[in-house]
Amino acid sequence: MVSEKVKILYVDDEENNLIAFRANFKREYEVYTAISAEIALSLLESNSIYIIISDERMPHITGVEFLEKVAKLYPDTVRLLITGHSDIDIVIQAINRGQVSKFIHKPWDWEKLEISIDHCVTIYKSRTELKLKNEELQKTNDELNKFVYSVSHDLRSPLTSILGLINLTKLKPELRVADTYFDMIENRVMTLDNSVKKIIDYYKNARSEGRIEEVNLNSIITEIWNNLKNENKTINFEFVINGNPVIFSDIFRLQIIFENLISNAIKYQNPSEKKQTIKINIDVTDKNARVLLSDNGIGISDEYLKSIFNLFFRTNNSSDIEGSGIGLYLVKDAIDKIGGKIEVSSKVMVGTSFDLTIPNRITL
Amino acid sequence: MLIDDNKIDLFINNQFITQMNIADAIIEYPVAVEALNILQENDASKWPDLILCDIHMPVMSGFKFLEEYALLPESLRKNCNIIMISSSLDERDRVKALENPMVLALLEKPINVAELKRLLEKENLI
Repeated sequence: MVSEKVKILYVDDEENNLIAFRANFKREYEVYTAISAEIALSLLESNSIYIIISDERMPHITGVEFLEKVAKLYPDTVRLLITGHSDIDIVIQAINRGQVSKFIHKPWDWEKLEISIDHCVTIYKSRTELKLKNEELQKTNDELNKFVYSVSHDLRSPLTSILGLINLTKLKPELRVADTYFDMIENRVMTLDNSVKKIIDYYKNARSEGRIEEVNLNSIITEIWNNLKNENKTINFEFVINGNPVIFSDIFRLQIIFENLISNAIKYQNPSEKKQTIKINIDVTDKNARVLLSDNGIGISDEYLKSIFNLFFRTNNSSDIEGSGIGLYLVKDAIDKIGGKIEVSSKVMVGTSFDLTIPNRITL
Repeated sequence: MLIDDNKIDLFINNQFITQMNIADAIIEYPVAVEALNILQENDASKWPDLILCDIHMPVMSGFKFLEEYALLPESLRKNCNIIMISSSLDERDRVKALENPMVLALLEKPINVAELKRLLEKENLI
């Protein structure tokens, strides 16, 4: 494929030019010549030629008009125009209509012509390569898609069976004696299941295009809180929204953001704190939603603070708490994708607070 | 009627339904085609009131089963409800299942007994 000669088509109504051109380039390229635009178009139809050189002045049709046609029919081609006049009008038209890559003066200097053609070949080759790479990328992406789909099923399916069996034991009074063991098994299985879910979320977030829709911040945050609150029932939850709770944003990403931040705030509470608290305060305007999410948990020391949004980063003092090191990375990635901002401040054993700005994409 | 290629999941769901005490009889099918064959006999006495069908199964998936099921007589189908079950979180599966008018709901595995009970009560099935 690489050793194959590049095909070049030269169109000119002067036979002598065609002969000279062919003689000069036939060793390096597979040269096609046409004495008229009609012949050129039929040659293009039956051969995949990607570099086309046309004379400007021809009977019936100008070079610009011809190249304009070619650009429409074969947008992947690289086009050159040869012209005897330096009329700026022709130049403008050639660029705008024929989308040419190069101009060549007539009568041409062979060396310059060679350089120009060489340049076009480079453009053509890099375009083809890019196209090939894009196709490969698309293929890899599709495979990854299938892979994540089967992982999500193959890994989760046995986990759900195990969880189902554990739930069954709870319905059987005679198995009650083993409750503490089953609870521990359940806890570990849930942790594993959560990690699998996070990996799937990570992939979905990296991939999926955002979709802007109506999102009620009050209901998504309340729902997330209700799902998570059982992990620690002593936490005091203070949630206030000022303004219209409905904003326009990407619900999937907002879920990732709030789920991870709230789940972290629950996990990293300070066990010796008497009044464990999570506060969420949101001010909504037509432009954005400003979210302040704070807790009085164990906090993060300054040395770690700048790294918390990195993938797989975990701090030393969190090692006895379940975590995958993906959560805050997902949050950062999701907030970047919806065009928002997140800032964090924290003090060890005092608490952590996140300051988020989420754009409100109201469409008029 | 329980359809699931995983025998352990069949066992689990059988136990859940037994505990809920809502069924006179529970029949298990590890292969969807077999379940379909029984339904295709068009014998009302062999039709269940409720089908719990897994989505991811080899040979005949839950969705394929639904396509075949749709061809069965309306007179028999109207007395039978289908709940799809799956362990996948795939959004496309969820949408596809819920878009199907024959599907009452999609439940995530493991089945939550309370959730299933609420659902059946809401539909006046128990």
